[in-house]
Amino acid sequence: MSDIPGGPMESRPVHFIWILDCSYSMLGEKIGTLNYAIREAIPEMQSVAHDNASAQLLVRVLTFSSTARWHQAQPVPIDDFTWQDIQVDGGTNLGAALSLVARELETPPMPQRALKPVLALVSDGQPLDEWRAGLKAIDATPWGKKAVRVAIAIGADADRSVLQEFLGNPELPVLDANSPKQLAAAIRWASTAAVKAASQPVAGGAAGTKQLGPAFAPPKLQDDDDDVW
Amino acid sequence: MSGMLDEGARLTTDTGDEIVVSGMLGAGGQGEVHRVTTPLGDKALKWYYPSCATPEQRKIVEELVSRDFDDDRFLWPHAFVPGPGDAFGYLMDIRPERFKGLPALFRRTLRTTPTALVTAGLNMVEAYQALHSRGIAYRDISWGNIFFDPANGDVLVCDNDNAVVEGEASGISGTMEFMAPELVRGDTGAIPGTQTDLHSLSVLLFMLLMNHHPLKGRAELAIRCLDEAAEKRLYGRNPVFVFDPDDDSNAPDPQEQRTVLATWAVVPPALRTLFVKNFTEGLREPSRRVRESQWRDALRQVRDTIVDCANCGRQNMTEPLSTTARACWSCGSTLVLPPRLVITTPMLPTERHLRLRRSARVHEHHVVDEPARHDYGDGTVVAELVQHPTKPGVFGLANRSAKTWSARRSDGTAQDVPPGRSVPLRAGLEIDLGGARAVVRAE
Repeated sequence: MSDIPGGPMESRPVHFIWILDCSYSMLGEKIGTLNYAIREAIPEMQSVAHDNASAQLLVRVLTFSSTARWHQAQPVPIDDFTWQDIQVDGGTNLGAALSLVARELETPPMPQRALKPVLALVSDGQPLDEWRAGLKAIDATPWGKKAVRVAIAIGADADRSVLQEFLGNPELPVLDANSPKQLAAAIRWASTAAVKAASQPVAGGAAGTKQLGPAFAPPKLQDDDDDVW
Repeated sequence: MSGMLDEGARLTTDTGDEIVVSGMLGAGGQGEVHRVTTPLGDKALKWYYPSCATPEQRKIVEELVSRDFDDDRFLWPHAFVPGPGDAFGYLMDIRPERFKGLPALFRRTLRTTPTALVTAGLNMVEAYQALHSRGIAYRDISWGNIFFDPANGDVLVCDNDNAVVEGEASGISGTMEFMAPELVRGDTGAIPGTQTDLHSLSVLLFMLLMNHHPLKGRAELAIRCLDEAAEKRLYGRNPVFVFDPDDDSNAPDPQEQRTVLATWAVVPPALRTLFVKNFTEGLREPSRRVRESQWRDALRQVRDTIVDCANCGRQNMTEPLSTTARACWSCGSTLVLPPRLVITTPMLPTERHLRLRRSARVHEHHVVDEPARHDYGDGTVVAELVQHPTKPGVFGLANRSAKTWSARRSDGTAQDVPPGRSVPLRAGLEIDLGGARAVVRAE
């Protein structure tokens, strides 16, 4: 029994969906780095979630290769989320993944009330399938339209134009991850700043104040690959 | 956790001290906070993201450092730290472990008491008042940068790097749910300053005591996706207080917003009146917002008249000047109101009403006219309710001050109460506390 009146603050969910490329081209260092970067980002996601009592961060993970598969299908509270390493196989069927995500952005399964969902796409290659149909399906859902989107391009082969189209806003940059350090920084940013942008809108640009740019501005990444880790 | 500064990185402060980065403490909207070792012990280093390390921010930080604002309620920037290129940061003290963030309170994952919460509110008000009275606007009041000690309500204000002299520009306009409506709307001429701080402070106090946002009622539940556009409507274009007496369009939903209904029901009218004023008239007219001195007086009165439920022991706020007992918020028994001590201050007679609950204490600020600060710490006690050492059930007021009091016996004769001694409580007892006069009343 509490010593103070009133229960916990009412909260709204933030649905966060990782959409991860597991095609053969990710084999080796890239997939290892991605697994590592996401593991590293979990405590920071937890800390962002703890800092906002009116939001409840729920995470899901979708991987795509020859097919799209839920790696973590049920939305799990970030405090209970544990990372199982993902493995590579097959091609780059992004469209299948986006179609699966679109299904989740209908109401239901989305609740009547929520904060903006976050869709974080990580890819290193060129889609092999009709990916635009999947993107259209997301854009056609009410929650998909509102979603905060983040796109991370791993390596030089990644098709940036596809990722840019996924973002749906020419002013939002695709984050480049050409080194493990850049990938870690991009994953970290996606998992914290994007959650903040979804759960705690900040208004800028009132008269007489300086605009810092969009609240959703990406970090500048240093391209020094000499750090051994 | 890795960040912009690697462990072991060496930097030099503008005062010439060498500091070494020893770990990361956290990251926020404008930068990261690292632990550093310095010749003066471990400190915290705030380091700005490149996009936030602007010449304007640099000027603000340099100005804050030069102010050398010495106040234990603030983690103030106390040395500027230049980095390579345009990068920079500043040193501050590390937040002691006893201070907890408000999110833990909001989630009800920490234990505290109504006394600690009201004291925390009072401390917040006085901390911002200390800034405002110096002409400094804080501009970013929110639950994200204030910490409190759940045991006693001490507060610590962090992230002071957006505080600027009134009228000067700073890079931030605030978290939307704390912003004054005119700023959310971006009205012509509306700039963040002490007047908009007053709105943010009232939101903070409401959330502290009610565990809910004052503008999130039914209208919020009608929103599916609470995005920027929806927040602009709730907090800017059409803000309506959840307890607006003349407009119930945003009243709390009895099923889905029970917390605020439960907390509002037990808050005394002395505080409710101020919240209603601030979130009705004050929403539309900034000059009608509740000022810090009004919050301070109401919170102080409520703090001094909290009573323990005789049945379950939980603390209850009471209406400071009322003699009618309500039901305990926790167990429902009718509260038994303890005797009242009325202190009249010496020069500009002001009455302070204290309920003499078992742990009641009179502090230095109770016996002066215009205290600079309401410090409820152990070091400021001047009188304390004590039980007679050999006669259980007999209570007295112990003199913890350095002065001898003069009390009046029931036969009218005077009686000295030297420091360390206690005078038995009875209705009508009058004591000269060395300037201020105190009277014990049964109700």
